[in-house]
Amino acid sequence: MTSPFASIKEMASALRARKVSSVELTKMYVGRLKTLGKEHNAVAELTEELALRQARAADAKLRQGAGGTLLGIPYGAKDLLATKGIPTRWGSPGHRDQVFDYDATAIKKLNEAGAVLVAKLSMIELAGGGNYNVASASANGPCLSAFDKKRWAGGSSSGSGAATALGCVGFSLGSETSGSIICPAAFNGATGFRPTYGRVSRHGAMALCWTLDKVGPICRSAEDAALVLEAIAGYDANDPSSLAEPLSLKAPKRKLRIGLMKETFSANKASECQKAYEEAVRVFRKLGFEIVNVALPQLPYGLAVGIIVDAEGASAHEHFIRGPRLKELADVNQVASLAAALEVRAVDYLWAMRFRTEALKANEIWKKCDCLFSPVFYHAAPPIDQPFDKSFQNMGGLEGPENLLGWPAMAFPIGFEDAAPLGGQIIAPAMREDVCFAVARAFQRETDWHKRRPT
Amino acid sequence: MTRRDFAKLAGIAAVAAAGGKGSAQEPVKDAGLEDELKELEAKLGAPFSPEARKIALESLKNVESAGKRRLKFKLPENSEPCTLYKVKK
Repeated sequence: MTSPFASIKEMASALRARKVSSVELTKMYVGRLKTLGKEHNAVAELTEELALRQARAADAKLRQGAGGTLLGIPYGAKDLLATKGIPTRWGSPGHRDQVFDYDATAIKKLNEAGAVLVAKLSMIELAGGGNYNVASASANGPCLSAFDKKRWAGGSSSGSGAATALGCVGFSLGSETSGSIICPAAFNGATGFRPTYGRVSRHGAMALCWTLDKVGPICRSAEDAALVLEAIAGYDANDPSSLAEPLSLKAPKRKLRIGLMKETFSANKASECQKAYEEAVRVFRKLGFEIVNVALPQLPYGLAVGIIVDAEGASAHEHFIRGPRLKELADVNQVASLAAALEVRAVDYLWAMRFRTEALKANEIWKKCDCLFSPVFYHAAPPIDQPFDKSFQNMGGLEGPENLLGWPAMAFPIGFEDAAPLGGQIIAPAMREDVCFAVARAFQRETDWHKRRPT
Repeated sequence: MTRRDFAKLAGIAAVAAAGGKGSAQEPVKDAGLEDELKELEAKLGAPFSPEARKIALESLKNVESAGKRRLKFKLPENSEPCTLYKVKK
């Protein structure tokens, strides 16, 4: 029987060799979602009936010798992606009755590729719009890390990170406005990819912040993430921000330079992370990458992101915020701060959007390096029962320009702290997904952190 | 969730923690924000719970504070926002 942790290519190969059917794979994953997935609060909605229908159709096509690599592969989708006729609740108790009559473009593309949707996966309510201070800020309760049930799975793509690392799905889709793919990837030992802004259509994905939202894969390897990204990327007339420029994941031929920024391990008592980081840098050198020290311009990126997310989030959800169901949100911080976000002034938002033009100066860094490497956080996932203002105090430094400028990033495991995963990230210039994949793939060929499984 | 988000949370959670201990509602130091909070409640058509009220007040302070902090970074005159209006046929 195929391992639940098999790679997409391994599953595809087994399907074509008739060692396993898509129906068998689907039943395996549904079974694991019903047990492990539910125990970790990773499941928003099982889509068993749809999945078996899709799996049977995939098996029929496979018998005819048809289809690409994703044909028959079961996956889960963050519950902010619209799925026709199936509840899409955005992690929010206040949206418990919400059902759309269309599929998000990313879902549609995976349907066309023959992938099998086994579940909608849990998330932080409204993708963390406003502010959330507790892991239980979700209609599905606190999502537990794959490696340690006493730790948080991260957010806001909590279920996508946990379910993928637990071997409850072949791969998953998540989304990121500011951290929501790389955080759960890091906290679950998964490999998550945040594409360039506009690379994947946002049509049918809940809007938190129109100018910052990105949809991307959370998988168990960079190889798998590449296969999923190639299936879901592309211009979409339904999303005017989507890129027409073609995606290329072919490794650049020349020697790549990895930029390292000043890190504050000591100040954050992050000795384990420092060891993992330094070992990763040693591996990069061994692989032939050039290592250079770089620095980003010290600009108020985080302040601008905060204002933009507040203003656009309040606008996107204004009807809900002004309605009677706001108070049903699981986290009182979200209730209060979403309401307060209605008061962001136009001049403040426009300052942030003008600042965004100035922040483009940060692209000067790409003259000195081809990508940046840094820890995602300085520590492994925090305890599930502590509010974040306490548990995140030593997690790391300030936000850089990456989300503001739409830069892609690959988050992947680089070590462990107290048996919980530590994540590193490779950040590249906009539209240079090929650089992220080249570095991450090479790293994962040389190391096995991404192959460690929860017990 | 990113590392930067927690700077924002620190003030909000401190207020919530104080409220969670059952202390009497503290007098609001900034009368202007109290008025803004009342206006916000009127807009939403219903009052906040005591806990939510404290957090909302802190959130309004953060909105004000962000509005003041951004003034420290001067933009070039007449610089344009990073938005693009695409004319459709």
